[in-house]
Amino acid sequence: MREVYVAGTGMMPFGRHPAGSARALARGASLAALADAGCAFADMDGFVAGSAHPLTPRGVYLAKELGVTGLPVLHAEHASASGLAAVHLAWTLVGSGEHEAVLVLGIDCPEREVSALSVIEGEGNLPAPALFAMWAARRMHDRGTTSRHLAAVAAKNWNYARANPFAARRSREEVTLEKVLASRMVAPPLTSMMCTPWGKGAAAAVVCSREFLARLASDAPAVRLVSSHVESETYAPGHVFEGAIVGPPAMTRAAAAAACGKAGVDPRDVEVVQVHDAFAIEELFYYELLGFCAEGESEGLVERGAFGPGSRERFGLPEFSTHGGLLAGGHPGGPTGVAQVHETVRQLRAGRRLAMCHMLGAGSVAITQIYQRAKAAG
Amino acid sequence: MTAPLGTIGLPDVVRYSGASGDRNPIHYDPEFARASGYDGPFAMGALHGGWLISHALAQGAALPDSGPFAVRLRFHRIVPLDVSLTADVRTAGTGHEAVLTVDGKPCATARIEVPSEPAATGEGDEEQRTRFPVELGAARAFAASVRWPRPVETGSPVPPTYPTVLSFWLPEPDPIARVGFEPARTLMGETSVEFVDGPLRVGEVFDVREYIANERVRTGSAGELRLVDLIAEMSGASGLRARYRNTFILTPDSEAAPAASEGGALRGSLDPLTGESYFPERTLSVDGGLRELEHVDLPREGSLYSWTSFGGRDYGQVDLANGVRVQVRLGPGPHEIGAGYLLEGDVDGDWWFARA
Repeated sequence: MREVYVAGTGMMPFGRHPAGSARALARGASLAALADAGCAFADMDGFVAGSAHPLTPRGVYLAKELGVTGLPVLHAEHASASGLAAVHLAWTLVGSGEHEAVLVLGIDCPEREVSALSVIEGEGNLPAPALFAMWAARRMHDRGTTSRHLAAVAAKNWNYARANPFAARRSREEVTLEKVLASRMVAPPLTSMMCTPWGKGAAAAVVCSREFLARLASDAPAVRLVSSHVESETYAPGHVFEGAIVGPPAMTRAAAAAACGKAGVDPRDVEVVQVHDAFAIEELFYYELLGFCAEGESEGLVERGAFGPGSRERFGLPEFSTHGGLLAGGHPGGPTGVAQVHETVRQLRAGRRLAMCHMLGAGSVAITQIYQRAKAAG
Repeated sequence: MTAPLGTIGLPDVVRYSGASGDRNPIHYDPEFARASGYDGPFAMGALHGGWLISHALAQGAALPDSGPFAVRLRFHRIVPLDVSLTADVRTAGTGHEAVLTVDGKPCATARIEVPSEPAATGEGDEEQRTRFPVELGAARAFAASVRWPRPVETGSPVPPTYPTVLSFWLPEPDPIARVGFEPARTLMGETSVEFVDGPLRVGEVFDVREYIANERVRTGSAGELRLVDLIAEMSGASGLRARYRNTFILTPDSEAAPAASEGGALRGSLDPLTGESYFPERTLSVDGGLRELEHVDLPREGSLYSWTSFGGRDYGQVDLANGVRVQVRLGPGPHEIGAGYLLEGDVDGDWWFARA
C-alpha cells in the first residue's frame, strides 16, 4: 500500500432537509470538499458514495450533478458505517495505485419520508434505542454505572456541538446533566438527550495519493489516512444472532487493535477520537475497548471530566466526539463517518497529531481509521 | 384492571358477520370448523378485538380527537365460542394496552398508542380502488356488534376497526381470496389501523387504495408459515387519513393449526464437534469450517441478562440454560437481571419470555 492522504473535506448541516434535497446536499458537500482541497471534479479519477437509506438516490445519479466525465463510480453501504466504509474503499483504491484522487460522498436524504429507524427494524432488528438501553442496563448491573454517568457523556457532546455549525442539535445554553436527565425517557435508562436525533445530510472528502497532494497549491498541513480496518462479528458464547443490530461490544476492541496495528501507533498517542456515540452508553464502552483505559475505569474518569475539553492536557487521554458526536451532531447513516473525517481534518490542521475514527454499522461491522498530521507535501 | 368480558356466542358472531361482511364459515359452521382442524367455530379476531377496544375505552382509555394515533390488535390464540373472557387494561408507553385472556392464557392484545412515525403511503401488488362513504346505518350496526360504548350520530367517530366494512365496497371483497390463501388454513395474525389526524367520522367519504404487500415466510416446527399483509389506505381532501393493515397467516397443511396448538420448544442448531448451540437455526458451523449442524430443541428457561422497555413494550436478552442468548420480547414486569424466565406463547406464532 502506498501512502494515502485526505486533501480536503466539506459538509452540509445535519438535521431536517425535505425529501428531494439529496442532489443539492450532494453538490453542497462535494463543492465544499473540492474547494477545501483546491481542485476540480475533473481532477478526480474515482467517486465513491456511501449511503445507508435505500431511498437515498444512489451515488451514480449524484455524481452527475458534479460532472458527466465517465469516471468510475462505486457505492458503499454499511448502515451507520456507510461513510467510513466509503472512505475505506477509497483508501484501498488509492493505496493500491489504481486511483490518484477519489471523491468520497457520504449522503442520506431519502426521496420519501421513511425513517432510518424503520429501515433497521425492517431488517428484523429491535428498535435501536432498546438494544443500547440493554447495553446500559447490563453495565449498570455489572459496574454500578448510573444515569449521571450517561448524562455526563451526553452533556459533554451536546456542549461540543454548540461550536459546530453543522450540528443537528445546537443548544443556546450550556447543557447540564440535570437537563439531560430531565429529558423524555425513551428506553430506560436512556433519555431522549442520550439518543441521537438521526437526521439527514451530506459530507464529502477528497482522498488522494501523495503525488496528487503535492500538485495542489495548499499550505495547510497534510492529513494522512494511515490505516483503515473493517471488522465484522466474531462468534463468542452469548452471541445474539437475531435482532441485535450490532454485534458484541468487543468487535470494537478488535477493530481498534487492527487499525492501530496496521498504522504502527500506540493508542496512548491518539489525541482526538470520533466514535459511534448514537447512544450515550456507547462511549463508556469505547473508552475501554479502543484502548484508552482499563475495563471498569470509564465511570471514574468521566466523573473527573476525562475525554472532554482539556482531557489530553489533564489526563493524557484523548478528547471524544469533539464535533458533538452522533448524539448532538446528528446521525444520517451515509455522511456520519465522513463528517467524522471532516472533524478529524479540522483537529489535525489545528495542531493535533494523531486521531482515530470509529463507526458501527448494523448487521454488523465496526470500522476504525487512524489519521495523522504529516509534513506538507510538495 | 382485570374485569370479566362475558362470552362470545353464536348470536354475537352472526351480528358481527352481518355488520362487518366477514362471511368465513369457520366462525359459524361447526362442520366446516371441524373439517379445518378446529374443535368448533371460533370468534373473528376483529370481533373479540373490537370488544376489547370498546372495553378499554369504557375503562377510561381515550382515542385522540385529532393528530396521529394507532390501534393495533395482535392475535395469539383463537377464542372459541361460549368460553369466559377476561380483559386487563393498563397504561403503556404513550397509550393503553388491553389483553384478552381465556383460562389465564392471552388470546389477543390491543394497543392504543401515539406512533413514533406518522403513517405513510406504501406500495404493493394487485391494487384495487373504491370510494368509501362512512354511512350512519352501517356505522351503527358495526358499533353495536363490537359493543362500542358511545352513541353514533352524523359526525361521530366510528370504532377504529370500522374499515373492516370495506368489503361492502371493494370490487373483490373477500380478503382471504384477495391474498390467495385457503380459508380453512388462514388465521389473522395482526390488525393495525394508523390514523394520521383523528378518527374516521360518520359522513366522511374516502378514496381507498387497497393492495397486497410484505409477503414473507416463517419456518415453524409444524412446517412453513406464509404471511402477507393486506393494506388499505384511506385518503380525503387533506391526503392520507388512515392506513388499515391486516396480516394473514397461512398455516401449514396439517391436522393441527399452530395457533391452536400449545407450547413447543425454540428450534436451534447444535454443532456436533464443539457441542455449542445456536438460535435461531442455522445450517453451517460458525467457524467457517462448513460443518453441517444438527437440529436441537432449546431449553424453555433461562436467566435474564439485560432488559429495557421501549414504546410500551418490554424487551430482554435471556441466557438459556445451555448458554444460548436470545433477544426477545418480555411479558409484563417488574423485571430483574439474573432472575429466571420461561418461554411462553406459541413458538410458531407469537412468543415471549415471562418471569418464572
